[in-house]
Amino acid sequence: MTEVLRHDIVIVGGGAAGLRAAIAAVEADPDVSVALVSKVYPMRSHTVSAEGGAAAVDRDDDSFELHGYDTVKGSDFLGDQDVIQYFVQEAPKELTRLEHWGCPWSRNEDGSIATRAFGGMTTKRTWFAADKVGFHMLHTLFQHSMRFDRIVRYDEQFVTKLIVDGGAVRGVSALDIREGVSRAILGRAVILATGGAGICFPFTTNGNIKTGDGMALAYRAGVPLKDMEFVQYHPTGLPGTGILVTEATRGEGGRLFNRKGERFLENAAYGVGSKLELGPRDMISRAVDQEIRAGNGFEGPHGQYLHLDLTHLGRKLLETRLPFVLELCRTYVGVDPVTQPIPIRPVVHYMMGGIDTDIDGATEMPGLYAAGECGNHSLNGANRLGSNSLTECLVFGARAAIHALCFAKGVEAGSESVARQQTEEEAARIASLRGQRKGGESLARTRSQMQEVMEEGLGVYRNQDGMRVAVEKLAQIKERAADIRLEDTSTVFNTELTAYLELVNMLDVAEVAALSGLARRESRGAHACSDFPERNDREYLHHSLVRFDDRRPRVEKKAVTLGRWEPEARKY
Amino acid sequence: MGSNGKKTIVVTRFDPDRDEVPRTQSYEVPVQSDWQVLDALNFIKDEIDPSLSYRWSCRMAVCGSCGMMVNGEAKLSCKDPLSKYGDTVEVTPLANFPVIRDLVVETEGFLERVQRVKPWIIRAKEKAVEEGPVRQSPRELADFSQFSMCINCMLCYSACPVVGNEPHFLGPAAIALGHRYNLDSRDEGADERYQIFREEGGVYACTYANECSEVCPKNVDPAAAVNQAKVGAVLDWAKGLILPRGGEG
Amino acid sequence: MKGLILRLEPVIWFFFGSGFLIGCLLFPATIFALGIAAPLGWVPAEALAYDRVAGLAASLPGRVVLLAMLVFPLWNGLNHLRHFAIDLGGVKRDLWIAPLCYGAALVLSLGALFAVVRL
Repeated sequence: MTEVLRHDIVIVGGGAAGLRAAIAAVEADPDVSVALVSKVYPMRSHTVSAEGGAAAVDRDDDSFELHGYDTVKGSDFLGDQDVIQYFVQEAPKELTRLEHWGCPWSRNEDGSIATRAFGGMTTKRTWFAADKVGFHMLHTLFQHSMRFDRIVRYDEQFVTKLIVDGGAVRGVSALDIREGVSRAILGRAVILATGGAGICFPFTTNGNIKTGDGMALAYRAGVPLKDMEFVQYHPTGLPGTGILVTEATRGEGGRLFNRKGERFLENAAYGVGSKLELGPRDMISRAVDQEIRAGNGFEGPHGQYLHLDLTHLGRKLLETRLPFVLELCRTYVGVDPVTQPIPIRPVVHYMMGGIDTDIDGATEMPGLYAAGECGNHSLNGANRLGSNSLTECLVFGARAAIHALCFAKGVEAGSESVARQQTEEEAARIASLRGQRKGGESLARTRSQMQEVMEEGLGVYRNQDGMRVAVEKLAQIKERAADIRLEDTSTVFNTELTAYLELVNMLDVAEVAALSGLARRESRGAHACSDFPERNDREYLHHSLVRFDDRRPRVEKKAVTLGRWEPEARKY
Repeated sequence: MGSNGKKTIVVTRFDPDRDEVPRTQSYEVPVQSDWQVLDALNFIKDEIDPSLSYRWSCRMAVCGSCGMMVNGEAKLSCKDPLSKYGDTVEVTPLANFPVIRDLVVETEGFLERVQRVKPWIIRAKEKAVEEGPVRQSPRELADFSQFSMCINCMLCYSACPVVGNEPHFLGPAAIALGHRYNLDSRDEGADERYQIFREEGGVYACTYANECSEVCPKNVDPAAAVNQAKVGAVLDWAKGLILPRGGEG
Repeated sequence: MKGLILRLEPVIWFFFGSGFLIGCLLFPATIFALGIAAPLGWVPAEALAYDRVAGLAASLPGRVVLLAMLVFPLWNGLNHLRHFAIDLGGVKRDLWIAPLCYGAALVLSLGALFAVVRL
């Protein structure tokens, strides 16, 4: 008989947001039982790959107002200002907490926290641990979480469905990747913290596990996804692999050059003004894209690229502040940044969009919360500023946990028989997929097709025709996906099966992103339309929602919460 | 990047659903000159045999998922250029671990060891957030910084001769991690960890083979941590003789 | 026996470490003095005259140094031998290898003590 496990709070995802939520819950309530369910061991979560830093006001020349304004402006006025206000106030507390838990933040000579410059930030407010910030934060959180025996880990368990009963979420059905069985994990509240969906694209900084699982789970349960058209392209990825070269390279003084040796960001048309390399990511990615289109790129085996030059910074600074960048460049492109410029091109990095939540992380569905990249609290709007997202995982991971805890106290646990029945249906569905030989489509090829469609349709620049084609093609690919041939019949660690489940999730997420993009006939933040080059506050100063309703996606609008900062032209 | 001809990748396969014992399977793979071993495995999975199972994610040598033996040496397959090998490359699961399937090995025992060394800040009185960050000089940070770089890839457990022999051994990565917290100026829990270090399978089980540091892809130098921990555990033991603590055996 | 050895590990390791240190510092110095410097005549012959050296060795500091040079390297070597055996043959053998090695080290150490005291 299908096993049913009981906890108070079920957290899906073991990255920064999920771990922070788990710790916040057990610290707030000594009796709560938390299930931390992840398809990988927590220390493998993609938080580990973040490099540059985490933002929080720390210096005397800084203020919450400044951080707030930078974030609002960075979001192209699509960030909700109450959320941003809360975020900037909590940020220093969260990073301090992590310091107390052992995070090895880099230091000034006097022992205080060192901060570095980052794109779109007025002053140095990005805390860092050399250039392995995500790695250190994740391991600090994971190790700290080991103190608490009330955090029960379910590692390598793939959540395939939210258990919904009476309109409220009651837990999850999880496939044990190692054993091939599905179990129901009941929780009075569920927090999704599964990260982004970069693998929807062929060229991304994201790890292979970032397949939008939580977004798709919520979406299929009827919870809308918000602002999914805003896909962040990071200006500096290594050609070929897409491995991230952190923005901290520019924060420390790195410069971008084209083939003619021009520091092209000086061109006023690119809009970064005197910030140059410290402009926001959307603008710099557009500039790099345009330079390459204008033929000012270098020709390489993996297409055209530009140069990120760090040679003037000196070996000592690079070795102390950017050692990981040195390792990555030497290993993966055979370039030594101490003496040679780094080849770079824009690469998909982050989904601004995610599961629609309010400031508490609560979704429309009672009991369901989201945090981190998979959620959308309307903090990042149309363009996230670098180093805001690691802090976001902490601030909103903790807040979601506290509110989920309050919610959990007021409701009864879900029905065991409903959970068992829904999980048995899942188990049967999964069993029929294993080794399904009926179709002729290849899993890998279908995934590549989706990725190509997304790159074509939702690139740095988009247009109506391109996005319309993307929507049509994605619909066709979705149909074909039902005929994918799966050959692995094993119940044990069947990664072909999980890759298929991930592809199905990504197809939903991709479709929503393309539909949202098609509906937004303006240019705002990372959504740059060549056919609608201007921002249009009169018609589009609102969030995009896509809801799965009556088995079809439906595009809706949601108001933006403004506040002290009225929309103005976004000039740097 | 240019093609680099073909290589034969010989992979150890094991599916408990159908195999009694592990078997090997060869795949002919057209390789590119800038490929890592992981790229060849991904080619096999996508184009030849979708049933091949292995873990991977970040492909930038920081998530620690893709450890395996390549031609008998413990490697992160995403950071192991194929070009340095000959025409035939042998890929097997990490040594010293039970195999779950193909190249996927059991991680539970490793994490249990990590947890045993109490890898968190221990303080008599925890600081309140309102007090702000604890001061720590760059020099104090440098004291433990190297030992905080472990990505839990478990290569050192594959290389360590003691791990294979002594089931209780904490192992290089766990000891290095415990030692990292002992060296952290913010921590006050060293005596608790030293006690764990002196238990069976603690630091003195290490036989100075130094293999752990040889294979570490992140230059953590766990062997140095283990040996420093031995000195620390002796000093702490001697301190215990002079100033007896309650409850210590 | 296993428990006893586990409890004594810090002492054994201290002896082992000290033996390592002596092996690194004092042995090369001694070899240099007696094996290279003396034959080459860099040290005056009378400095190594039997009576002088015997007197030096019999003094209290001399006996302490002598004892350390004899005892610690014994533990260093036998601890190495034990661990070498574990690396080769598995921890199960340790049940008799450890008592054997440390027993031998103990007996030889007592012999050394006896010899040094009788000097």
